[in-house]
Amino acid sequence: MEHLCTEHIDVGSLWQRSHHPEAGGLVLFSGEVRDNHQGKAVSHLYYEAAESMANNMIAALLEEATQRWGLHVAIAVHRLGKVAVMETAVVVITGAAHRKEAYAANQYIIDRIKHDVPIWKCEYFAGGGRIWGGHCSCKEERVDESVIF
Amino acid sequence: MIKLEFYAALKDHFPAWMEVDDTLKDVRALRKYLVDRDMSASVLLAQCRFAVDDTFVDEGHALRAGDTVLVIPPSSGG
Repeated sequence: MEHLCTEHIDVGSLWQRSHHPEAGGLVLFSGEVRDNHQGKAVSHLYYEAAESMANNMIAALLEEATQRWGLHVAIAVHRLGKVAVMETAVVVITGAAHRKEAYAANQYIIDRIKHDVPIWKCEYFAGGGRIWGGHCSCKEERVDESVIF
Repeated sequence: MIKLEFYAALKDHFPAWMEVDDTLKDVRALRKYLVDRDMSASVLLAQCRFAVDDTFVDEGHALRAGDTVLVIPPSSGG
């Protein structure tokens, strides 16, 4: 699938193919695996996705951002499976005539990928144990009380 | 029958997929069915979204025989 991969993401290669004659501003975001979470040492992450849906949603998201910010470059790839510390889990590259649009579009795309696209991380700790979720620091997950039984 | 697919933390409570009776009329009924099946998953299920044909659907969405329903916990990509 174009926007999901199970192998190492070659960020350099993606960057090399991102240049565009009408893009005066290019922004690259690389989401990388940290070695800790809330004070606990993390050995690695594991990602899974509802693959078809996630791939289609990322494609639609890139198209939406392209239209909204007039992008010349819009690339997003998310890794699945086991990802080691310091490896790239997700990369987003945006290119527009000017930096303002490239930055705004890039942040929009990564925020939507983190909050809306059906992809999940599982953190494995160096001392043993694992936890699903590791929700984004910019958003508190809330329980919909209307559906609690 | 209706096929259900579970992801991430939900797989600590349910198999990766299972089939259920197609008498469950809508997503609301399906959510309740799942809570009744495993009360320990109730908080997580309350946060889940559901998708049919790779599209998010709301609580009132009618379910039909042959549907594949994805049960989707809060996203945590990136």
